[in-house]
Amino acid sequence: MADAAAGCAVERFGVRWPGVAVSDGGVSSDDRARLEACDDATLVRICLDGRTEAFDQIVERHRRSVYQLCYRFVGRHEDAMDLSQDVFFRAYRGLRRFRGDASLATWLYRIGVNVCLNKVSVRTRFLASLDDAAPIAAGGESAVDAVLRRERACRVRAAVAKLPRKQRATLILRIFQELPHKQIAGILGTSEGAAKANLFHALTNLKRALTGVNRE
Amino acid sequence: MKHLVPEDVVDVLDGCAGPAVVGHAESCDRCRAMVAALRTSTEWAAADQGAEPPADAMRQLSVRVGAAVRRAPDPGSWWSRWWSGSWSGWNSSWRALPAGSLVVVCVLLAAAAWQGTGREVPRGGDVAGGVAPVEEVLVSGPAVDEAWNVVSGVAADLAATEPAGGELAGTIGAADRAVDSLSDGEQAELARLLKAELDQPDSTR
Repeated sequence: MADAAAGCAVERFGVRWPGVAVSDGGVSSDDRARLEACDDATLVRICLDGRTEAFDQIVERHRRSVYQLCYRFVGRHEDAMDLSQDVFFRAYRGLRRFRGDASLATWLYRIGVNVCLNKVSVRTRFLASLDDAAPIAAGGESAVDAVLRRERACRVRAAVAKLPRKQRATLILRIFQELPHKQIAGILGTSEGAAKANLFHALTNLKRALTGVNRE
Repeated sequence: MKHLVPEDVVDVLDGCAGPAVVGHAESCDRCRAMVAALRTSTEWAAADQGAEPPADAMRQLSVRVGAAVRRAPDPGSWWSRWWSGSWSGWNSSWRALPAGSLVVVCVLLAAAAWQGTGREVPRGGDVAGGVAPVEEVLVSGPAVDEAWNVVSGVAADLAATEPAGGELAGTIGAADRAVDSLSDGEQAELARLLKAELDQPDSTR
């Protein structure tokens, strides 16, 4: 049923696109609306058909989650932007290898984790500072509580940055991206049990690191 | 029941563990402490909300990706598929074949060009008495031509034992330069004389 709908969408675009009036690199609002209505698999097929605009839609859908994943690895906006761009560019180049066994989001996460783990050295000093932390809210918590919260956030980021690669990836995907264990296993190419074990060890090491910091 | 394994602890944290596992986690001091410790670190980690991207950052990301993608080859084109390895029937070894062939052709062309540099047309004009032109003799090297050996020996002797003798300067290579300064006819005549000298039965170096 879904495949049939996707096929119809592709056919519709196959007929529709040659007549699309493209101006200044953009597409009409009607065609943009059609693209927005397509699911990810359909967008991939349209893109492979030579329509780069479909990839723009893919980027628009997943850019925030990919950016946040990268940000969790590097802790700096500029680096996260560079890594995110790299992730999407690699995805575009390897788009034909996307077979649809997993969701496009899972596939992008897999590319993102690989890019981040390869480009961010384990020994890289985590650059997060208090300035990078979330701003203090005007109301609600007191200023002292807010400062303590931000300080703890910085310690957590530094401790996460020191975790072994797979543990770090698992923790980020589970705690920060809130992905289910099965999807994490698919992203990391492990079993669900191994993903859970990685999370267990990551949390144990995190606890150890944070407790050690507090003792100093 | 045995103590909880890591997967059980994670299930307890997620709230999806079975009744037996939950019961053990509540009754066993060691496992209860472990769950509590990991719950604390989970809460600490989750409390870090991260930073929201700056305003307009997502649009900038789209623009950057769009520009990079439009400079890249179409992922559906045959050569892009070949390069990415997604063309069915093409594995990595087959993909290496054209590249290897190109390397072989380049090596062959380079070898041919290198050999060609050693086959320049001699400048010498008329060759007297069937003797090869001096330049060809010089190119062919000392192991081939006896006359060259004589000249080299004379040059070496001058340099070592008669530094101030004769018209030749007492430096290594002076005889070579002297031969180079001769005209083509003179060089041919010198070669003929040296050969005649060598042909004499009592000639010595």
